[in-house]
Amino acid sequence: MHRTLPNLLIHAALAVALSACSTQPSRTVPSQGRALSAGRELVVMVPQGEVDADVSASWIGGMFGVVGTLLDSSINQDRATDAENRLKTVRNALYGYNFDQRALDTAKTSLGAMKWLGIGKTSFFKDASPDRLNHSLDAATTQQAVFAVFHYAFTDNFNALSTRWTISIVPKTTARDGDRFDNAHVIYRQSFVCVSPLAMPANDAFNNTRQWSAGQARLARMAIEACFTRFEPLVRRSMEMTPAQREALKNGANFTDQRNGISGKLIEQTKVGNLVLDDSNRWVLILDAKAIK
Amino acid sequence: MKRAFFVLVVGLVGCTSQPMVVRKAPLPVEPSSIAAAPVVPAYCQLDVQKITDQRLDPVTLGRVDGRIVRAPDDVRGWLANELRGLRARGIQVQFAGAASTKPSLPAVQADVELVSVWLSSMATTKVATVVMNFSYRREGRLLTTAVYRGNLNVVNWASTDAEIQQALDDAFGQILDQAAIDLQRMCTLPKAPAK
Repeated sequence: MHRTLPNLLIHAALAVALSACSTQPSRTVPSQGRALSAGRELVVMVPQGEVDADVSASWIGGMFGVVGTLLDSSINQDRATDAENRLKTVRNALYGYNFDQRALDTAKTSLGAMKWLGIGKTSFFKDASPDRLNHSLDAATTQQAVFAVFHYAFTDNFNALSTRWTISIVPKTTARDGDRFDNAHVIYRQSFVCVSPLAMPANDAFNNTRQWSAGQARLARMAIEACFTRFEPLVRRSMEMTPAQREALKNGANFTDQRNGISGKLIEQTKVGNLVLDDSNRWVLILDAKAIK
Repeated sequence: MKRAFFVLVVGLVGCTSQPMVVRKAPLPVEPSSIAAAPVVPAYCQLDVQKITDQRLDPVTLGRVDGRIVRAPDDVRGWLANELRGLRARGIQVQFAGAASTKPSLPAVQADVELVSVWLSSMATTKVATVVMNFSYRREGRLLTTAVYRGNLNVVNWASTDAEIQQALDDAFGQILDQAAIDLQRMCTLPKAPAK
């Protein structure tokens, strides 16, 4: 049966639902009771195969019946094909760089260095579906589990590569399975975005892809590694803040980066780059191109 | 109005998808195309010495329109079945451990590594990607290593088992096409002189 139309409706409904949920909860981990005697299990997830590109999907045609839907399909397939063709070059150049392993190692080492978290048994999954999340939480032998979900993708014109991660501390003891990962029930949740822009981006994706791919994707490897280096300081700072410190972040100067489509409140400006609390309450670190090495 | 709402609800419920486990063997080729396709005589033999899986999570193969896709339990058996598709490209395939006879065809040995296999979707398109690394040897000497990528993006009609399986098989098929071209060249290389 042809199900593209229901698919489109689902996507539209999801987009609305996700936009409603995109605001992250403002949480810190209370200093009292941070440490748990049994510690916490860590679950690391990378729900993607290789590096992605943020391709914007066309939905407009869906409003104009079947013909419009088919037009959307065609536009989306062209966009996906273009992105996949460009990605192929970078992915081939990135061969041998094991993002999954690096994400796992970074989470394990960095969160392990925060002694009060008491990171113990660690597991890794590519599936970040609600079933998998609930199953992992059920299987944890500790009262709470830490979830680290990673993602990495190029912007749609390949002028920047962003590495993203969301860290959640989730207690086992909440009522319904489906609710345990809701913002209202988690002890801590924060999303981080580390943006590595090209120093001299071209206006077109083709030439930007060439820059990222050159020398066995030297720049792309450095960009991801530069973000992994910032994982621990960012997460530690966010988790260990007092509620007052966190609240004060909202009083930062207004910040807009049109090239990378980021706006919010400036947390700090250093040689490394600009750290921003964006409008969706994510911590966004826009690296200075010179800091990518 | 009520009817439209009902249709929408049924449509949405219909899309609530169960996880899918891919077949251990590729989909059989349509009988009509078998009849039409010329029988390719084998001109080369590939002895697969070792099949390894580099992935940290051997279970999950991705997500198509919200539907989780999983690998069969026996990953090596699955990969072996996919590799058997080389036969249709003129390459006889033999696996280590199987009763073997001295090959009557020029033979190349290989270690095969699955680097990545992933299914995803973007709006109305689904993407299947497979990356494999072949290390080719002949009489104990390393000939070359080759990284093959199969990549397919096609319209996602209904996220059915058959269309997801077909996309994956086709991505594997692209890898086999590339491997067959390399093997054709390697099998025609003169053997190293005996010392």
